Amino acid sequence: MVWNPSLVWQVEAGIRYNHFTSDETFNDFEPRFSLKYRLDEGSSFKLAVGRFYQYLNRVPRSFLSAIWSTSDKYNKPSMSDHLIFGYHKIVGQDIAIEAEVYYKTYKNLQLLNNNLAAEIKSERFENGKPIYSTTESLYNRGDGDSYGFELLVRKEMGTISGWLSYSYSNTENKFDRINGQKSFSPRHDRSHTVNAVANINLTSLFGGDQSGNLVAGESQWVSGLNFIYATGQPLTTPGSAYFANTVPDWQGVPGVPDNHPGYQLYPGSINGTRLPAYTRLDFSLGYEKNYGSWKLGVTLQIYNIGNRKNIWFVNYKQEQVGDSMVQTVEEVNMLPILPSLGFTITF
Amino acid sequence: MKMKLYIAAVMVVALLFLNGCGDPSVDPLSFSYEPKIVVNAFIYPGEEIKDIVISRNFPLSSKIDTNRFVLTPGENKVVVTINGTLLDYDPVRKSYGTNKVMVEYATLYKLEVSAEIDGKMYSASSETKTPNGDFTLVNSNLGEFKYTSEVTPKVEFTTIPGVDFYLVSVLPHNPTTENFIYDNAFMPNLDKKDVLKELNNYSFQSIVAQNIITSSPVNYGIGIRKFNYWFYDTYKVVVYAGDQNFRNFAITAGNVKDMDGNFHEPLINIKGDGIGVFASAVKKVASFTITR
Repeated sequence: MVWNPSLVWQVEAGIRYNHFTSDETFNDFEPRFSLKYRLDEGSSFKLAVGRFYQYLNRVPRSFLSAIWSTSDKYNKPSMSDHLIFGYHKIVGQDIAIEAEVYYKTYKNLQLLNNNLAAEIKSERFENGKPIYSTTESLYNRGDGDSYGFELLVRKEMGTISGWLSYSYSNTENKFDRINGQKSFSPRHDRSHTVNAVANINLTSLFGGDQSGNLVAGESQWVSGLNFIYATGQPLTTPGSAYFANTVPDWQGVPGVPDNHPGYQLYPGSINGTRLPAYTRLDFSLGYEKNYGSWKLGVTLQIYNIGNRKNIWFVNYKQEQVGDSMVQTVEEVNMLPILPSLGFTITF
Repeated sequence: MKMKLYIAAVMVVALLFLNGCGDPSVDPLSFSYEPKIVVNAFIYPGEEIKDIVISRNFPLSSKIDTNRFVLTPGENKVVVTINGTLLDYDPVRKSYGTNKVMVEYATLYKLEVSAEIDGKMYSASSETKTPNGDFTLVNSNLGEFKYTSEVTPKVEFTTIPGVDFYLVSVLPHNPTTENFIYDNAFMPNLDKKDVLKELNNYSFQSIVAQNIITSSPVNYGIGIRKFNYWFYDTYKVVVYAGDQNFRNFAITAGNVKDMDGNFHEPLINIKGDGIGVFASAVKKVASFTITR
């Protein structure tokens, strides 16, 4: 429902009804409301609130695509309330500025239970063997909230076009059985993210045709830059070690710690450490020529032109050296510099 | 045109500058250490309470002083009680126990411990409910088996209603590099140096059976496979019918590392500043021999 009480005010309100059935039926309402105030011809404020439900839960698998399960009697739907305040302004003819602050709450977040092997429950027995077919114990349940700020400056036309964005976010989740019920950042959390994309028409920049539209017989050079900066991903590192036998009659057995049967590692605070920041710069150079009935395009793209060794994940290792257990870190890097050449023929 | 050239040049230089801040690296010592009381305690119906080890965790990459792991009443002001009964410290066995408590079936026991670590007091507590009843082995002498034989030992026992977790420990009496099965089916051509380095890993084997839910005692068998014995030797087999704490710690304590190198917490039923295990079980002992 849209209502315009005056030329400068716009009110939008709505409600969505969800009926979801698995082994249990969920009936949920999602109310939404937004208020827009136009300051002048090119700028406006916006306030939006809403409630959202999600009936799918993710089961991540390392190095494989994730699988999903639905909400059911063991795992209630996830719910989120959003409060967003935004400002939008057009500067000049082709520059748009968007700014947003937000606060969101989350309820019934479902995080894969890493200790499922010990807690998995059999639904029934066939020929004396347990059959596992339920999602009971599959997830740990939690709540959370997040707040943040996003800024986007966009220039869509001209010799130099592109956009620059910055976002700050802070997300804290609290799960019933993780981290002593103390809140922690999720794995996907990135405090600061900067994205810069620039498309430069080199022909135009050096005094050629400024339109960018090629007519028969004309050609142009274009270049692109893509820069990304993001705060490093949170991770949980081994914080300490201890001796405790999992099997009682293994007590008192001599042996060096690194293969002593009771030598155990215990993690530090959950997601309490972060990988180093991720940065990457990509470059592209393209040539286009219009031959009348067809066009030829040649593009050289260089991914990660700085050959930065961004860290994908780390592998902690412990090795006994003298009287100490020395911890080392093996870093697994993301893709290095990766040039590629592409040809495009358009008829 | 000059202005646009200038903007483009500044943009390129700025981005190159931002991207060129050196390669990232991870500091192996960037972990957070919190002192914890480590509990390693198992109790058994029909027995006194003994061999309860109270120790501490230690930061990685620190010097290991095994004499200082165990927390003692003298050094660390340790107080350990079970259902309110104070446990005594045995300096020879470096463990706590008491003959004042005889453990019973189907009973809840609460362990409480406080200790001073690095000048600060910590406390922890945990509960375990002992199994409902006893169980029996069908045969405690599982026999003698040639390693090359296709027939392997099998331990059979009656289940305890209400207990769904069983663990079989398989321990050689005298594991050495001399009686190691070098022509084994899984890792042939090992040399003595390799075996010596991993001797404990070859020696301490266990088999887990979980979700064994029975409403009345029934016979249940667990096969002992060739990857559970690595020596020509006589083996002590201990079958534990354990509680939930036993199950959780046995399965998760050594499995805290994900495939992508990230770590997670094991399942530990200890409140407060403690980690480890306080569990109860009924146990039975059998044996078998592997010959050439």
